[in-house]
Amino acid sequence: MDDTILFPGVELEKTMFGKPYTYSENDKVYSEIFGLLRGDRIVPLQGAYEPIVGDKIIGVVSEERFSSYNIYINTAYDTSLSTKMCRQELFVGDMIEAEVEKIDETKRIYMKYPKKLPHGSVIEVPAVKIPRLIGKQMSMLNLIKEKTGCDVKVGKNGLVWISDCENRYLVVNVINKIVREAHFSGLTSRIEEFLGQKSNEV
Amino acid sequence: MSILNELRKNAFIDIIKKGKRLTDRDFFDYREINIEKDVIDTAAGSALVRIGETQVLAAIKFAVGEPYSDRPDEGVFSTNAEFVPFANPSFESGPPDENSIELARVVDRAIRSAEIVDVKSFVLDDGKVLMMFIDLWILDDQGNITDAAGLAAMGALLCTKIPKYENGVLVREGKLKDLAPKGIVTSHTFGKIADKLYVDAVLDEDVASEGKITYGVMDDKIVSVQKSGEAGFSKDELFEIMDIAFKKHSELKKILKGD
Amino acid sequence: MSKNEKLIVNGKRTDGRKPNEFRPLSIKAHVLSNTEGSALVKWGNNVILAGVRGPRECIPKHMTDPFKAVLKVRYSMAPFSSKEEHGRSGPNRRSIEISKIIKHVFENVVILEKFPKSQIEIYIEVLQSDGGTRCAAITAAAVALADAGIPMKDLVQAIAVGKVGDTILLDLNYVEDSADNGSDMPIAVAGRNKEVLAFQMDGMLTKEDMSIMFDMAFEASEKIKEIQIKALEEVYFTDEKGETERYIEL
Repeated sequence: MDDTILFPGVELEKTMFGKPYTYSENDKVYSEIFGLLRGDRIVPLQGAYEPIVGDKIIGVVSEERFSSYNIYINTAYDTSLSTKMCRQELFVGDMIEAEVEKIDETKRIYMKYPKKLPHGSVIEVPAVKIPRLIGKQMSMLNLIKEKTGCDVKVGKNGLVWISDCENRYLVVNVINKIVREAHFSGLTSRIEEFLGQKSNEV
Repeated sequence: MSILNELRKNAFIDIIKKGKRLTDRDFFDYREINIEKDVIDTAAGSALVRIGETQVLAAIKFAVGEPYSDRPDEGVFSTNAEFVPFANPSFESGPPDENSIELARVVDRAIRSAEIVDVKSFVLDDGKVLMMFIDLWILDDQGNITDAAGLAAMGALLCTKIPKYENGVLVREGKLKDLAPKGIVTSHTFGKIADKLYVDAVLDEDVASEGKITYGVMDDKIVSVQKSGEAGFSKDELFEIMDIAFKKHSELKKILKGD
Repeated sequence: MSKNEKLIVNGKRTDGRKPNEFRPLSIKAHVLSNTEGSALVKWGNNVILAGVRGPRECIPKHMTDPFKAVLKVRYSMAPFSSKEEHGRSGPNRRSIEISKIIKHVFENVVILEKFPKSQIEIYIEVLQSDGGTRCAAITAAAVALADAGIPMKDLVQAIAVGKVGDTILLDLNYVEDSADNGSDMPIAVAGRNKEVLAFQMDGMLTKEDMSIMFDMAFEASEKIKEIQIKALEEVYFTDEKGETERYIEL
């Protein structure tokens, strides 16, 4: 893989102007993060979630308010889910999947299409690793679900819901492994091997 | 943040009711333990301990001072703990809170009750005494910082060299005498949740625990006890985990001596 | 007077260095599990640990800035970190001043506008000190911020240059810094365009002295940057078969 290592302040080709994770000064373009340059894209290796309208996210109800719920989605920002959007009543501690509807000027995030998730658990991973966790055409995620027998749902915001299943801790272990090794090639086969071993032990 | 803790606690309760822990570990096993002694040059003794991903540093330094008026033939030592803010998102900057004070006092109590530090040897020619400071620096909290701190303090004591007192000044160079503690003390913290007992909690287990017991052990004696948290313990439970504490003490003692 | 003479003998300093050499520097990034980014710096006999948290919700709420992230910096020296006395716990005036200086460095390079209403915390703990800790702290914090994926315009390096007697010395250790009639000038620079982001001095220097000292510092900063980059690369590009566990090694 012809990745170039970037760090804050490295100068880039002018064609990168305006792309995510770059900034410009005096007609030149620079990287703003430590990451990889892959073709014409910058791949971050770590970083907070930056919400985009349409993102599918996972959250946990943290507070009930008069006509809305506050949802914890592991960002610095306030989030809001109007009760009108919800088919059923939600309670503090409920886990939901939803879509980002809009983000206002104060960076408050509004959600729509909420769906309450069955009882399970939620873990946090760095948001930038989520694409790797899903894999091309969901290949990685499906591999995990198949080999562990657990249902897993992944939010773009870095929250991952795991169903109440026997192999829950195996799911947690494999997700941690993917997070640590996300940028290496051959990850899928390594994970297959890891899960193969572990399901034999189980 | 706290909503996630609540969830983790509930998830953990579910798992523990099925007879499993959060990780692939037995209820009474410790995670992998690593001890590196003599790691801080500016200290008289020091140790860096890792239990799983928990990382704690202990450092010992000496100063000269006055003895307590009712014990003029003894030196003094004191133990202080710092919950460094980067160790855990819930640690805040500022003066020690009840948790860091409790941890320091619990570690101190085990060392003091076991009488492994010869404070009488800290008396200096001119009536002044050596004051020994034990600093417990919690650098990374992934659960069970109490046992890690106890282990680090003991590791530091084992490699501590006492400075010389010459012309009213402490000299820290040259050939120095070992502190040579008279025994080895270790602490073992047990958590309880939904009537299940376990040792060496990971962070989620710590957060979820309803009660904790820390036993300070030296050889075949219990030298200190601390119960915290709201859960009650039956007498049988207390003695069941006491037996385990003795077993674990032997294991940890080997690790301390080995390095 | 005679104290100074012993500091440089035959062009060599007490630790064997030449005047324009800085002490051995090694950096290990990503060594703490409860932070977004972290770095352990060993510079000569200095041992410094930096941890970065955030961006996360700004607390207390009244400190929130609606347009950008708020930076909080805490530089602290452990009481066992000095060769001499056991210090007192808690912030003292010196560490509060240094925290402020460090904050201004990163307020410049961190792209704060990306995270309005949030806070980014930088915690720096000096575990062992031997002169030049604020520069080591800044160098460590820059790596920890990059490790955390926090967007910055540049990587920052810091180093102190001093003058003892007639000789300009790079990266003073504690003994050199304590010399009579010496001068010490710690500076921090943004790696790319060498913009000076921290600048302090105590002593007595001519303009010419300082010009030479800046050149020395800028040259050193290039080498320091390479070491910072290597530390970051190591987090992600170690041998695949090797351990992926990362922890503090002293």
